[in-house]
Amino acid sequence: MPGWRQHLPRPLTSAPYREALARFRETPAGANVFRFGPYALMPVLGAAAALAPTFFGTRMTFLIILVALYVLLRISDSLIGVAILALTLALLPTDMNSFEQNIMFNVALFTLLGIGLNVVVGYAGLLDLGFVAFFAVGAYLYALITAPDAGASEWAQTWDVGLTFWAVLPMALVLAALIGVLLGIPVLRLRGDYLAIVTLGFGEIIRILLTTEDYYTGGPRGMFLLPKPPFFGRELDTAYELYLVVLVLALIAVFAAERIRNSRVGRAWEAIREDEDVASAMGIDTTVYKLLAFAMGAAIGGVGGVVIAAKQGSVFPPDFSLEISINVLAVVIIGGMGNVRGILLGALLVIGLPDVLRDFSINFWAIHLDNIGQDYRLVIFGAALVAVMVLRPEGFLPSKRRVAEFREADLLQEEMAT
Amino acid sequence: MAPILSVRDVSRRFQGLTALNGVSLDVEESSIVGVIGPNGAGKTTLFNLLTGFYKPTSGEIWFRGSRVDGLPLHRIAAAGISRTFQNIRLFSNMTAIENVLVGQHLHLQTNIATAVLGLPATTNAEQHAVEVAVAHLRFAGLGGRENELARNLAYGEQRRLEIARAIALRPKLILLDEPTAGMNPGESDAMIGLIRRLRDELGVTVILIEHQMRVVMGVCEYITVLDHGEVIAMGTPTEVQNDQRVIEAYLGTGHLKSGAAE
Repeated sequence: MPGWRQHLPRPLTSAPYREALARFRETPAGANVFRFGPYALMPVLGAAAALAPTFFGTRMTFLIILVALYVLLRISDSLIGVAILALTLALLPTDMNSFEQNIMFNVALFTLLGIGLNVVVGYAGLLDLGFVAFFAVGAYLYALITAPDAGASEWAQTWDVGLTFWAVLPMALVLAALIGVLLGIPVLRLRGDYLAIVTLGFGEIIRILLTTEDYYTGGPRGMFLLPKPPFFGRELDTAYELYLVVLVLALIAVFAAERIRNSRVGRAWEAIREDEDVASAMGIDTTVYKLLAFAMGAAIGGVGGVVIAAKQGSVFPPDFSLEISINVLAVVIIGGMGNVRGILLGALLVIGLPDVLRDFSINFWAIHLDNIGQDYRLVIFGAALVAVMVLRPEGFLPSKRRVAEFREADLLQEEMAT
Repeated sequence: MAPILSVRDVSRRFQGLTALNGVSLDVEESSIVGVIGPNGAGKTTLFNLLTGFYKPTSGEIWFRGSRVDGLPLHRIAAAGISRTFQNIRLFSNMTAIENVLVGQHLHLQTNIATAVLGLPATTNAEQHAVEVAVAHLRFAGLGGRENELARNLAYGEQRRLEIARAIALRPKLILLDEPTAGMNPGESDAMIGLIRRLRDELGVTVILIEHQMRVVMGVCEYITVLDHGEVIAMGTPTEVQNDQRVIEAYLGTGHLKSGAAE
């Protein structure tokens, strides 16, 4: 281990603090604090986050939300905690301006996508760099079905099925899952780095097909004038309303993903991640289970695609570039691979923060940097990724098991060094 | 009675190297069979062929009346063969009970849809699976260690957990690759007891690779000796112990000649 690390301030989780906390927990007062404290704290945190936009500017608001949600995610173990968390998230943007609401929409959307990719990368251990392909499938399906003739591709002008957003959602789920399986069949024989490279290629192939097949997809002209989701006689057209739609979808996805993770299927994925050959020797058909993980991740990606198409009212091939895949992967890794609750935090940091800092400027001595979030976005992003990988490789809210895995890697390195 | 496992003239070559050459072997149901031989004799290769990790270059493997060589790993597991590994291969970041639950994979039905719905039937099945897993852990002497991560278990416990995971498949045949490697005499004795109980209480046929002669002679009813990829002797422990070729393989011919000259 590099020696400079010992000069960092001790993290609050280090032994002396933990021991002091454990002693406090032994006392009767301490036991009560630990038992009821979280329940008292959760509504306070929720209220603080939800009220922040009313009193503060964008940056301060974002900071408060980030801290409050981080603590909430850490302590909300029970159903009540999750309910408070969901309520806080739902109420958060009520007092925000539309710029802030759009940021929150993006954060929620990438949380949804992250939950999907996490099934593939975090649960089953398959590194998929082409996740944007399924996102594109959902978005283009929505465009093909709902675009009015003025904004549709030539092919889509020849037919009209008259379906709306809510009908397209499950269709996108199924179609994306099917395409996930189709792409998966040839790809999943590969392992590790090879898989990553081939999926990367698939993501690009889909984007290029969208550009070249103009009869079907509208080519570079894209498709536009897409309708918003109808809702009891009106349209959900504000960022906040669509944010709520994504939030509900993300909650459903979390619920489904967690249940599957704690079942026979989740155990099979985990076994495959740990040791594929042995998993197979335990009777697990690894090809089928890898395809399942791929399909489930793809399905969630497809749903996300439908939402973004409805939100933007248009789809263009450049919207589905490699950058999306990388961003979603960064959300999953920074949040804490394998852990659903880390993903929201990852999305706030990776997707929300650069937007919040878009027009942030530093003017100090001879340094004049304007629009940091916009112009230096990738520089900061890269530096932050490196910092996270060095200081906290397991992510901010990792699953306990991941911590163990990374510790193991550290120990191995130490042993090899001595 | 037809043998439960029948290996017929099986060879396995790795490029130039012949790891197994024309090996034939019959195993009776509910017996405990030992496979011994010097290092590099091809014992683990034989296990890898039986469980599908490798495919034979030539020859056939029959198990309970159907041919299993060349089948993928999970199909062989489903046919009723499970194994442990010489260099322990647990799912080390999963808990002991989760390891055993993975072993039950073939006997559970939950799929994505039923897992999401979480109907009472699914919950009950899961509850039952956990109870069965606890029983398997107890059987292997790991009661009370259910929620320990596999990696944090002591070495001997890890070997036992591999056996618990292997019996969770409810196999007809279990292959143990050096179950007592690195154990002290006390631990070895406990392991001998566990191996006997596999057969006596669960009715499983056992084949084991073993280096400790005390264990082999103590627990095996039949022994097959491999050397340089070929079967050089088979029979009861006493027969094998007195077989000239076995003595040569283990001690070398030079020693034998000088011994004979005395």
